[in-house]
Amino acid sequence: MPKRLGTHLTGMLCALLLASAPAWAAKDTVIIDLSNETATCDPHIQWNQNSYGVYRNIFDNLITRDNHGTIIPAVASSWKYLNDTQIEFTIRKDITFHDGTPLTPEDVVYSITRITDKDTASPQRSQFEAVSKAEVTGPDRVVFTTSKPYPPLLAQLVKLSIVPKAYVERVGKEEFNKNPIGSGPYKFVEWQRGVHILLQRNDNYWGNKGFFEKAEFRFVPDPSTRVADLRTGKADLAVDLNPDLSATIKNDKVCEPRVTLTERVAFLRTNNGRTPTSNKLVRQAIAYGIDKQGIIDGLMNGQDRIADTMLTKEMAGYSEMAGYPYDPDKARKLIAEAGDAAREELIFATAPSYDQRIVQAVQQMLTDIGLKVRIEMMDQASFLKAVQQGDLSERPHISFGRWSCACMDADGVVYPLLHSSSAWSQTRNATLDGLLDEARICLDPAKRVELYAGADKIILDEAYILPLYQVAYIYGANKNLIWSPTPDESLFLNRMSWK
Amino acid sequence: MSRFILKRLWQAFLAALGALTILFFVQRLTGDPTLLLVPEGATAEDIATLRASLGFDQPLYIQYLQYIKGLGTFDLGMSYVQGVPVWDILMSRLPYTLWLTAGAMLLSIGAGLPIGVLMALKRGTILERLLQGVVFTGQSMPTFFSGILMILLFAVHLQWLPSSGSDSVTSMLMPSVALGLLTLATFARVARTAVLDELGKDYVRTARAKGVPMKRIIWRHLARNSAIPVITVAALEISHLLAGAVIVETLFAWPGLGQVAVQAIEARDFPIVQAVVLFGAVASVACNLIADLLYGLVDPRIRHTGGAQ
Amino acid sequence: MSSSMSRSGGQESLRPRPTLASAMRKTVGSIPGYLWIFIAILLGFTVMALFAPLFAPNDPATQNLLGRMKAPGSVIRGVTYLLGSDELGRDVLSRIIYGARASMCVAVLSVCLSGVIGILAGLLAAYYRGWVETVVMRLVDMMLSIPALLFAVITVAVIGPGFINVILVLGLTRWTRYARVVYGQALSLMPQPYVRYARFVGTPALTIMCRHLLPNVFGQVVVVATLEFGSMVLFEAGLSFLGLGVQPPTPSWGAMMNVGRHYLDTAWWIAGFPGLCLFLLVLSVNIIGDHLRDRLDPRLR
Repeated sequence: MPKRLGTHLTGMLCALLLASAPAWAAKDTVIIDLSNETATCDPHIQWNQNSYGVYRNIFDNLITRDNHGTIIPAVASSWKYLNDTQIEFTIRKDITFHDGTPLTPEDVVYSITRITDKDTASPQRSQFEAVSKAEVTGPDRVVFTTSKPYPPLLAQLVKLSIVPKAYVERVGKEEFNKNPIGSGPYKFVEWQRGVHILLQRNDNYWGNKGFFEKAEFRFVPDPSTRVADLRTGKADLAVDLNPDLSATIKNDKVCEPRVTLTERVAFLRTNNGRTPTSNKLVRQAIAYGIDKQGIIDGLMNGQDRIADTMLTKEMAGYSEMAGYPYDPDKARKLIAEAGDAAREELIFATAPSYDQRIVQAVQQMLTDIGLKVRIEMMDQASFLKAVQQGDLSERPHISFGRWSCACMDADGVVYPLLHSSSAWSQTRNATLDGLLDEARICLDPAKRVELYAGADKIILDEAYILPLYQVAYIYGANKNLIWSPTPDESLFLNRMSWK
Repeated sequence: MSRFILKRLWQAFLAALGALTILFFVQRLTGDPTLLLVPEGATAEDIATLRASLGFDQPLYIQYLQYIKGLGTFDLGMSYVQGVPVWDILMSRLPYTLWLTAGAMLLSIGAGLPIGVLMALKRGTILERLLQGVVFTGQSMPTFFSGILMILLFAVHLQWLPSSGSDSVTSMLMPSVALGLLTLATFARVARTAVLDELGKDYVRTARAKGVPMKRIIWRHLARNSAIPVITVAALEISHLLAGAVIVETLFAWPGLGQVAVQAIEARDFPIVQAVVLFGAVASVACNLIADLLYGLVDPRIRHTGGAQ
Repeated sequence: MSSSMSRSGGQESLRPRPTLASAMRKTVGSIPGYLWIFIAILLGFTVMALFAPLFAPNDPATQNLLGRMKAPGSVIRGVTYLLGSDELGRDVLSRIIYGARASMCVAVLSVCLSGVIGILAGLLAAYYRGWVETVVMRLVDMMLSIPALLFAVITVAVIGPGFINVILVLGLTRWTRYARVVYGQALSLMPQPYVRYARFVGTPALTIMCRHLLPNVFGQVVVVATLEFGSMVLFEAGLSFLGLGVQPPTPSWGAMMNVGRHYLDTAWWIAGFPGLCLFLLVLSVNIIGDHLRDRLDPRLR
């Protein structure tokens, strides 16, 4: 081991001496600042933006979305429903992995069963467990069977990366994670832990080849530092900036903010199993008491969009509803009606990853309508534990959240957040449960919309959950980078180029 | 001598084991990483499956015994988040930590000692006040603030230095300075005290009375005799920098151990936190031991019979 | 602090130690002119913290989302923002005045807590020796082998952030410094005739520690405490940087600087003014501490 340390040191010394000279002349490397280190390059383990932003360039997905969010073919050139629970995919024959072996239907089947197999212990299992069986039915055919009709299936399969069965089985999970081989537009070159991941263009790619010969993903935790990197040309693209930081680069010579509305909705979870938020009047008062437009205009540069329900226009199952208007007088009246119990101190749980300006603004608005609110900040792990474990009476009264199922489907939002069987839900309503159960297995789009509209009406009337705004995701990009952000927060390198 | 080293090592071993044990149990009071690993909306059953596969369904004492057993064979475990051996992560971060520590020490010793000596020699003059001002200024600013001011000035506006990263000598400058400013003050003060201390002693007075030039006195005697407190402080500061440069590393995206430790605490990636703390303990023992041995080299009067502090 | 000083100062002069009253008179008389400036700054901040509601022109928590990040001197809806408004449109000046409370409170209380723990541990170890000494000194070793900030972050993760918890964490992290100093000093006092006499006549241990040992180590403790005070203020700011300091909406200088640093290019006053105050505070305390050390360190007399 000391020998290894020695090589590391000499390597680093060399690197330090060969100080990086900016190679502007021909822009062959695109440099992207991520907000944290990538967790894994094995696409079947971690699902977080700093990971899939990288590995979805190394791997192809079964199907994918274009920049507008429409599901389009990728590894599967076409698909059709055989019946309510079976879907058949036709697999392209011209795809090879980076090691030269062809991609076969066996690889597709292996890829999904690897996730659904409990022994893999994949954190992504819940996204694919509806698929109970996957089998090869022809030289280019694969059939997936679900245990029940499952409308969001395609939306979930957008996230299924195809890995080479032979290679993974030969080298094992650990080695595959260190040296991933896929069929995507970029090949894995190296991962210097804590420093960067380097990718190299796959010149034999079957689809749209990348513009940049190389790509470097850096890990820069501090958002101000990411902005400084953009302004100095150290990075070409940076993820996850807040609205105020984006304002600082609005008039910059080198870089600019790039904003897109995502499918993510920011909301307040109200605990329906603990006084006083178990009282409908108190929940409604909170809903009337929050000036959503004020928050958006005042704090978000007007980039975000008011959310009346937890569903956004782009989602399957969406229908338009009128939400609660801002009416502080009505809110005060409701609180008076609810009596003294409403004035008990409310615990408002939040975590550092959420925008604290909004949390504080909400606290102020609720104080203005006569409630007593205490902010309780916890780190992410403690926060998740607090809001989804234990008896409802022990969970915080109000908690901030930003939800995305990354599937653009109502089921992925409403069911986990409000169905009483879900760990994430703080609502217990049998009628609502019935509607959600029915919608979950309903394949008729029009009927589904109707069912979700019914659910939304109950949710709105009871103010079970308080949607605030549809989140705008802000990237910072060099002005010369041609790339537009997508609602699903993807970072496809082969959709980027340079002016 | 060897008995002294053995005794120190034994004490250090106990301290490290104690620290590790407390850490092990305290960390597990904070929950486990399962909820952070699953995507939004995962069912309770999936969460339980993943939790079991990470070994968190076992009683705590069994988890502890397994960990200690692994340590016995130098197995630091696997990262829950990254799925690679913790040893690999530690080793890839270590060089950066060493570089940054070296840079900060170079600055704080290289500038701190001369400043301290000068302050002692010019005691009571305007020059001392001026130097004092410089030292105190560096010491009275939170590192994150001096760091961000430097980034804005030297990277964004003047464009002299890279704003972050670890790919060139120049990118090491700002983090080293941000860290070094704090320790610089300590060294300056120790050097000043030590020199003042020595200046009052008879041999210096005699030498001065004999007309030996001040420069010679400093080099001949002062340097050697003031070395001991400086070594003591250096050992302490180095051992702190080795795993504790959390803020500077986060700000400058410097991939050292402090940064990985804080991220691991947030992600509940316990094996990494334990490994970094273990490393910190070993490093602090090593630094102190080296310091003790250096005392003997610098000042042969000190013999290690048991307690040389 | 002052009460124990006066109490020990009024004791019979059986023991060979300078009476603190006379020492204090001498100290005050020998304070150089420049030091008064820093004492004044420190006193100023203390008064500001104690009587924050009297000084603050506005409520520190009232937001104005349409009057965000306005420059110093702006007047919005009839309210003057002397030092500008922050990212939520709150009055920076009022927040600084109230922030003095949190920042100084955290520092004072954590210094007290760690001081008490450290003094107690040091005295016990030096007095009883044996296993007590072993346990205390091994604990000190252990604490010193864990990087302080890491320990703090872990502890905060367990008990959660917040005003009281930050104080607890700092107190639990920093007591080792006092323990070492007190232990070393007290150990050298143990063979002194008056201590041996007191033990011989059966004076209770607690009395010996409080009456005979403590007063003689107090000078050193004061020096350590003064310098620690500065570190504590910085430490709280550091925890704020990691999001683990005093929690909003309670203002503290560290937290204000941490939020404001994102706006240094667009609204420098949000972080600039609290930064200046924090700097002046730590600077004053450090200079005073340095002076005290020069005075009280026997080797430099």
